Amino acid sequence: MRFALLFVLSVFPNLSAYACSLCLAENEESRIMFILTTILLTILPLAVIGGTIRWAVKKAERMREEEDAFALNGIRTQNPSPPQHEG
Amino acid sequence: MQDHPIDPARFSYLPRRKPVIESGVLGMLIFIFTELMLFAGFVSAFLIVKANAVGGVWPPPGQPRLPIAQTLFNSALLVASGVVLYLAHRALVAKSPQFQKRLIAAVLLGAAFVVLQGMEWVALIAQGLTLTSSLHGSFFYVIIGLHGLHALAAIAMLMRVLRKTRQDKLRDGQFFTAEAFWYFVVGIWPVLYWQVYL
Repeated sequence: MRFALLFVLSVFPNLSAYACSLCLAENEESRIMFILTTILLTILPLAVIGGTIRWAVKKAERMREEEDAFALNGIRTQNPSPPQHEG
Repeated sequence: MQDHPIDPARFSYLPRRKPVIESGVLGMLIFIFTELMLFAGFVSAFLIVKANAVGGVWPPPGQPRLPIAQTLFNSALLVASGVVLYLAHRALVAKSPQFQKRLIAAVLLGAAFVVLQGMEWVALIAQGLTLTSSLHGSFFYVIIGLHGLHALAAIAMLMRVLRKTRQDKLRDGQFFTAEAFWYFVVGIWPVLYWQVYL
């Protein structure tokens, strides 16, 4: 069955165009809306995933800076002045 | 000359490393992403059907008109609940006693939105707009109904947070998780209102 279908589609390639919703849209507004919604559904997940990753990276950098500042402050308070050498 | 190696015991005051994103919040973000795509798919299908309407007339003739003004008021309630929840977030971070009051206010505003939307639906059904009356009715009830279900689930999560708060067992991550979901419910509503009602 699959081979028969492939044979028919290869002999009559324009037949596959009938499966295209965009090509068979009744009016111009519908075709435009198909294109726009396709663009939306393509860009939206990429934007959401990219935005989330960027937010997480920025947050990680901010947390690292806070930890470093906290640790540095701790070292300074624990060792306020260098020790005195005897002799 | 004496060496002064760094004493590890002096670093016991360092806080234990927190995750960049809480597990609950990360899971909720993934869930929100899938729901966002679900709504995007429904709205896209709706837009295509609307563009293909006979004579470019939408809603179809003979179908009841949606209550735009009344829903605008309901939308204001929903947005207000989002703002109040943000204020509750700030109160939680500042460990302020205002947190519980603001959380209750946010829940009440959200519940008011859901109840008023339900009343609208009763009126629309009485006027003849049902799930099977037309494509208009089908898309309206599926899209707006889906949003309503999400709103109910988010309100249930916030009420659980409130219960945990009263029991003094609330962890910050639990609130942030519910908060993320509510922001999604509030944030997607203007888009749905704009596309479905207007």
